[in-house]
Amino acid sequence: MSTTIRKKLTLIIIGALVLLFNLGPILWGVLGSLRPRDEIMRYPPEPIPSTLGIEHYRTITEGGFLPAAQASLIYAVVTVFAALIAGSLAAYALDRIRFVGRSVVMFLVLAGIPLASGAAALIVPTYLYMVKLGLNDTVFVLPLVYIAYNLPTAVWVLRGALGGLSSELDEAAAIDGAGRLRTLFEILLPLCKPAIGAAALFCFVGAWNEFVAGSVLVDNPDLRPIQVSIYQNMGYFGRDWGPLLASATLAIVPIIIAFLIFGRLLISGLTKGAVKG
Amino acid sequence: MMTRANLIKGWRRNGHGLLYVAPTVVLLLLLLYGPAISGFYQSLFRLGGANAGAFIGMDVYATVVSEPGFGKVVASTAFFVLGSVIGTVTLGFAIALYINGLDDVSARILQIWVIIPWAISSVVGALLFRWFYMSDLGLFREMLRWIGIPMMDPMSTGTGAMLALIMSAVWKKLGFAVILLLSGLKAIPQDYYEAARIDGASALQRFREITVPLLAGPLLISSVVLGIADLNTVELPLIVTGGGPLDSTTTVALSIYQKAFSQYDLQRAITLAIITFVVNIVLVALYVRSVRGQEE
Repeated sequence: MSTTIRKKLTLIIIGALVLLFNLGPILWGVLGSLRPRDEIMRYPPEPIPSTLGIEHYRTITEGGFLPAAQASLIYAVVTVFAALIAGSLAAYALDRIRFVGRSVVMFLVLAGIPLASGAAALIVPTYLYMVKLGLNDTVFVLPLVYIAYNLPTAVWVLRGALGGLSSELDEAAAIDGAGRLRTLFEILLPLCKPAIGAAALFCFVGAWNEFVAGSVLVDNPDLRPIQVSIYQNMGYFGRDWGPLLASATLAIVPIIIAFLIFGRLLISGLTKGAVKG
Repeated sequence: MMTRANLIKGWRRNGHGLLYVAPTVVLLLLLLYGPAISGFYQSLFRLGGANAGAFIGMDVYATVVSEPGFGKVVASTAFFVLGSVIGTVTLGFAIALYINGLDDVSARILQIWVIIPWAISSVVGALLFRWFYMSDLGLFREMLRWIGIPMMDPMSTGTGAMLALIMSAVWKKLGFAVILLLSGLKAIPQDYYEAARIDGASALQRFREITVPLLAGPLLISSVVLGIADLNTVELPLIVTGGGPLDSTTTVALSIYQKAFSQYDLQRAITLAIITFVVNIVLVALYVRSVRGQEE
């Protein structure tokens, strides 16, 4: 066997193994969501389905799943816009203006990236704090928390992108009489589209996927986010895997689509040092 | 000497800077740092019961730490976090090295494949992990049966459950480590390897003397980030094992969550949360230092 063929073969085998162990749970889950109930529950499991149907999707859409998906979509979109606006202003100041307290703000932002993933340590204090502020179980509480959790990453990604733009752009804009805001929004940000996309994607995924705060800070079914709805389904359907897998599939569809389209942006965002586990 | 014009310019610079960062700073102080600080303050007072509001100081910390269950939770947490971080970084490093040797197109496809479990939510990830890897109706155990290695129910022993929990964390976060380490590998100039090869260094020597030291930054950053994520994950133990059997997979994160929101023991929960928060701060400080180191 020539080396190129052998190399290609190894590539295919390793690629297939990665596909199997990495995407296996997702593919097996999507497949299960489309199979009839008795076939899912049959032991030993049969990899090839006899028929595919959407009965489990009907079951869950008749429950509280769609309102939860809608609530999460709204939370995620609000998070994206708020984090991009506040984040680009902060990123600009941190990168372009030498103001007093800049290093303190820089520290708050940078430390906020991993801190925001410290859900376990933060949730009880946050809960007590929100009760005190009277925000508990209101429509504002989850968007506010999600903005705070995702803003540090957004600032960091945008700051990295602005840092890569020459200050000559600012000088040229100043000669044309543009102030700082116009320079930022009309000259600089349009040149940072990939970073804006990456930041938006991070915020969207972060808000859409959040569970712990969502399970604690709201009680009203109308405010319940999608991940909490899926978790509650687990208690409700128990070992009836079909509807559970259908709700899991629906929850990852937006993520997978966003990934196939913007995956490269996200990878470049990740590698720019904006890292959250 | 400071002229009047300079003074105005300085004021304006500071004013603009502070104005631009104000929304971000206010949001972070109010919603991220505020709760943490207020949580510590509140943990010093009795949160409910007969003497609600009474100052108890650090006594409750001493009580919580000396309770018999505490050592067990710390041990499970340490085992879970260390096992997951070591597993994720080692496997991620191997896959990153492999992808680094591929052509661009295959490398890009594999990167996107490998990152997908990281991008889906922990709730869904944990659910699908159980379904594929742990259930007797899942394909993983069936495939092991095909090749003649029957696997028992991982939930039948504490060790089995812990291994399943660690594996779920490795599966979920692997792509993150791969992407981070791969970008580190790409940043190593090829000339270093050329020069070493000319000097007669073996592949192993090149790996040990060039790759590993130059990758120390990304290795440290990914370990710290993964450590924080694993230390704080509620969803994985909650859904993959439920903390069982017999609390053998109850990590501190799950313990806080259950104490606060199913047993309504806010006092113990907030005390444990603040202890965890202190560990988080140490890890965050390490993170900030290593990211700053990378930036220079």
